[in-house]
Amino acid sequence: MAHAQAHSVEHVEPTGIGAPKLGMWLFLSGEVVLFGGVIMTIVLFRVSFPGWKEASEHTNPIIGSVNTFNLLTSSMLVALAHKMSATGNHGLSKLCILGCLAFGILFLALKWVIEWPMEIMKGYTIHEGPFWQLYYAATGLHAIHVLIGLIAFTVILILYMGKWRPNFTLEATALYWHFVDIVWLFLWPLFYLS
Amino acid sequence: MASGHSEHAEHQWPNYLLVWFILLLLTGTSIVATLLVVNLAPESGPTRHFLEMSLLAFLFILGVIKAALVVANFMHLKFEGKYLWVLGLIALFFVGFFLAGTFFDLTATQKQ
Repeated sequence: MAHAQAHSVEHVEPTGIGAPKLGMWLFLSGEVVLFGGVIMTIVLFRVSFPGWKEASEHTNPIIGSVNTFNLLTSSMLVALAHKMSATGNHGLSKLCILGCLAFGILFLALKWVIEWPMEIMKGYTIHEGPFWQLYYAATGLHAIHVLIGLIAFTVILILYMGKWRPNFTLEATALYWHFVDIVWLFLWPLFYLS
Repeated sequence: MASGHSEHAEHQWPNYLLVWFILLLLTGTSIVATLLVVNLAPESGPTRHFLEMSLLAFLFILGVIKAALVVANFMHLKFEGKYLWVLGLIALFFVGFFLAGTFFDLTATQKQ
């Protein structure tokens, strides 16, 4: 019993931050540099490339905006899931993870099943200039991050159905998911609104 | 082990629904601002260009505010110690560093 309890408690380093959380923050600081570079490149192109504005008028702002809602809602749900899990409300925590998964899947479905095929059918492929190259590269890289997050949450939810309690794993995965949400908060206005 | 327990015992929880609502409100503001510029600005000319660049800056600032809300509340950074802040600031420094390098390279290329 005592052994099982010891496993459920995170080892806290001298920094005062648990190892899983610190590891995830270290990983995310690297991701900040990766996506920060991508976002800044898009901003520089938007300001200096003459054909950018015309090309950006062919993206679908409705799908982009609905997907913003999807990610913001899934982010809120996963934050709630972490709170519920930490306060012992495991049933609601599982429901919140399920909701997060649903909104995440909806995001990917809209992007990969509806939006991209529509654009490709209209002829807006990576051969159509810098805007579409950056559009597919940036939103594709982001979508792969969403997919990885969804796989992680699916594994957590499956294990959570048993006796395993995911407090620190859920917290670290939630940090990753919120970061993915933040990246979209910058990609959305740059590709769909401005 | 006791410190591991205390980390959660002292955990503070923001009002996630309120933060989510503010985020949606800011998202709606972005859409309204875009619609205003698209529909009310002149078809072309320097005024249109100025409004488009102002919109870009406005949307970027809103993005920064939304990101700050997510980081502070959903990611709990406002409850964390200085180490994570330092980590984040180092990452942002490098983004700025790369941006400055790219920007100078771009302006030099344009002059040529």
